[in-house]
Amino acid sequence: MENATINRREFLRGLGIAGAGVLAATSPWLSAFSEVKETAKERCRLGIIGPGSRGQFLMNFIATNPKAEIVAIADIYEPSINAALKIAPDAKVYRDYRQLLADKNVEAVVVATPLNTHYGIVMDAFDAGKHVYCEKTIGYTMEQCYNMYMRHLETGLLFFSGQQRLFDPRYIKAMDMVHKGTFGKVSAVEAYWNRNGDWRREVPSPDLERFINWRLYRESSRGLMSELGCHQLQVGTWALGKLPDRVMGHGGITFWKDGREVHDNVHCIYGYDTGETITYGSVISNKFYGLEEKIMGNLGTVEPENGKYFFEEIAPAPAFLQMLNKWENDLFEELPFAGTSWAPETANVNKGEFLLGERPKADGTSLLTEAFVEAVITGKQPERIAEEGYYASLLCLWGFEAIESGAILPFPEQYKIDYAPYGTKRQDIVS
Amino acid sequence: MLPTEPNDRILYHNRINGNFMKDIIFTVRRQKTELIFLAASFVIANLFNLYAIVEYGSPMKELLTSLLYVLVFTVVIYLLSVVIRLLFYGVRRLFSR
Ligand SMILES: NC(=O)c1ccc[n+]([C@@H]2O[C@H](COP(=O)([O-])OP(=O)(O)OC[C@H]3O[C@@H](n4cnc5c(N)ncnc54)[C@H](O)[C@@H]3O)[C@@H](O)[C@H]2O)c1
Repeated sequence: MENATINRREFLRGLGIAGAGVLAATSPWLSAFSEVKETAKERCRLGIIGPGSRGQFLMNFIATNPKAEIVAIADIYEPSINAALKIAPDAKVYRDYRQLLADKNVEAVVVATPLNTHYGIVMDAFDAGKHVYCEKTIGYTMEQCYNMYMRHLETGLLFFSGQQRLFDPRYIKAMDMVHKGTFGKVSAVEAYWNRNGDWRREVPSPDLERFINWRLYRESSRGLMSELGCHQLQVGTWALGKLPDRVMGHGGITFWKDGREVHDNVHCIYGYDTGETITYGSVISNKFYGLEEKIMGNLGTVEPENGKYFFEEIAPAPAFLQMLNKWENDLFEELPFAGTSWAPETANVNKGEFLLGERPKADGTSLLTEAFVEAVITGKQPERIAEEGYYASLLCLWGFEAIESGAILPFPEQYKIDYAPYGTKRQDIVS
Repeated sequence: MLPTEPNDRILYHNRINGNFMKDIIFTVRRQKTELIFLAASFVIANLFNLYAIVEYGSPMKELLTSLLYVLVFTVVIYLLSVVIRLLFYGVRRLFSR
């Protein structure tokens, strides 16, 4: 309970950026917290649809939020229901999400079901007058995403998506610095998410394979693009402040040839008419480089995941060390047995600086759920949060199509909305 | 009568315990000489730093900020001087026998 409040306070302090004005410029969705004091005594009633792995993770945060009550859950899989009831023992259980939507006690829903089911559930939720938090990627196709976003506008109901980086202090700080020009002109964002694992879940009986391992099958998933890429592409457009103009991609099943249908290795290049590039790659048979989004400006690089930034020019090592280094090099150059260097050649290594003084442990999910709760209470959609979620989904699905077709695809004009990342309206974009 | 001076006490202690190790006597003169060598080493190390600063075009404030390196280097020079002197006197003694 108390945790939630401390989190937010520490989060805002930890950012170390001046005032709310600054935050609003970089991350306008933080306006969700503008009425935290006024809503202190209020409580909203939420329903969770699909409390599986992610759903339960979200429930853990919501259950400790004094401003929220999980009044209902809906799932079609008993183990998920049982696990969810441990977090919210008083929640009403529905085996059909439509019954939950018909429950008048539920004000808003969290949808954490597999990708292919989001559309039907979210559209029905809007029709039932419920506010919606939907896990990323929001839709299975770009058209679905567009329709969902449009329905959100038509109904005026809240629409959040599971883009926790929007609330991650490291990212907020990094973007504040990027947008202030601290790292100069950003020409490229290199994003990757590498793992070494089969991405499978244990299946209690073979007939549940496609149900449990829905990520691995085409009918229910867009693979690495929708499950991992979605987050990182959003970071790319957040940094560059605009949408790419074209995408090309390639993918394959190169290692995990175990009957899965989605690629275990994908790469996409998103290009801008103005020359900038976002690259995205994911390989799940090598984890050496892990996960990062490298935002590369002419003056420096930010690695928000790592929580660090690096300037291009670093102060040279003290002259004294340079001199010793030269002596060593001169000496060993002449000796055929020259071994490992003892001299401080590493004195010039660019170790970078921490964005927030240290590596934070939380990833923004807790604040994202808090923001949703605040929004449900106030009924106010925080600025740009639906749009960021929408475009993040569009970018990964568009990349997926490029991989599938092998063609260079232009941005699908029909799915453009009146918004460009980082707050500029579409017509304001100057190339 | 028991000795009262600490040094004498040690000598006495050594004597009654049959410990006849030779005591190293560090005379005031020797102390002065070593201090002079140490100071000279420090000056030389600083001169090296000054040379490096000029050579690499670094700011003069490194005369202070690199002091730690300079101190380490001072110790290295001083120890070198000790080794050289020991060698020098050792060889001289060998020939003067
Ligand atoms: N934001 C993030 O970082 C993040 C992380 C992991 C997963 N996710 C997203 O969360 C969603 C769920 O992923 P997961 O890993 O929790 O999957 P999961 O398989 O563990 O959970 C899905 C749950 O939905 C239930 N379900 C399936 N069809 C349903 C239906 N028609 N009605 C009601 N319940 C139904 C399943 O029984 C299961 O309990 C996906 O969209 C995924 O992309 C987001």
